[in-house]
Amino acid sequence: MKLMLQHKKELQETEIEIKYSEMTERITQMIQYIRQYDFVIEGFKEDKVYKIPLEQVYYIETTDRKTFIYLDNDVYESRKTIQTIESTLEGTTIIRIGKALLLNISMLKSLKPYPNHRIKVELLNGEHLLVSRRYIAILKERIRREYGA
Amino acid sequence: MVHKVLKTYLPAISMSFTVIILFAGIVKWILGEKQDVFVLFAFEVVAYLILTCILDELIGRINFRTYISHFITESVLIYPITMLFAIKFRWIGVTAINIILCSVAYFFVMVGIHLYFYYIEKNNVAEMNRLLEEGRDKNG
Repeated sequence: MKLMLQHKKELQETEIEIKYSEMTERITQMIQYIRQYDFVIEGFKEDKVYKIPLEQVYYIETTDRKTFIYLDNDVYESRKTIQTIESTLEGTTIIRIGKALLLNISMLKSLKPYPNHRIKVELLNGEHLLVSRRYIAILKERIRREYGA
Repeated sequence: MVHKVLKTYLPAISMSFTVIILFAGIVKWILGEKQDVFVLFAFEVVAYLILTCILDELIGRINFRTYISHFITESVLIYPITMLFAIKFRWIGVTAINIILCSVAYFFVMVGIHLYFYYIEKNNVAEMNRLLEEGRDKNG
């Protein structure tokens, strides 16, 4: 695969062009990854609104009916429900791993078996999350799709 | 090979065995042999297994932090139901030796089931970690 980078000062927006002879699974995955850079989530902090790029999001969790967006060292509140966020981000690297928990699988460091048919995941920032048993198959399938041959 | 036996053949044999026994039981039931000991035993065992599955699902809602606490809780809660079925449906006679033997068998089966799932989950996670590792190597 040839990678060509062009510096064009006049461009208003970064452009990515992919040329292929045949659409393969790997190209589809690459497109998905590039597309996630287009996604931003609206987060609130001290009544200010912030646009958070998806690639900075570690996980999203609902606690006490409030939805929080967790970054490496920062937390923002979202005014949307976890279901709305999940459907908006369908096809990106965000997947559901619990009833009230969404994970960005790009932030996965490692996994460990955990009692009661669950999995404990370690994120790149050292935080740990639990994957409920009903979401393990989905997680495995996504890891296989994203990282498998 | 061991992994394939545990992950594929063992569940396949267990499922086929259950379906065959249930099917044979249902056929005998339809043919009018409703008091056949084999038919009754098959249906009692199925009822017992369904009940244990429901209990497992309910116990699964508790946030256990160690494998041993999950094992002990589940074993203690399912034990009286097992003994109730065993005595009520006369799977065993009500003698001290029978109850001890049944309890020992129950303990070994529970240990076996928990070890089996631990092994499967450990392998499952190892495969996911391997995929993550390979993906990272591939992407530099």
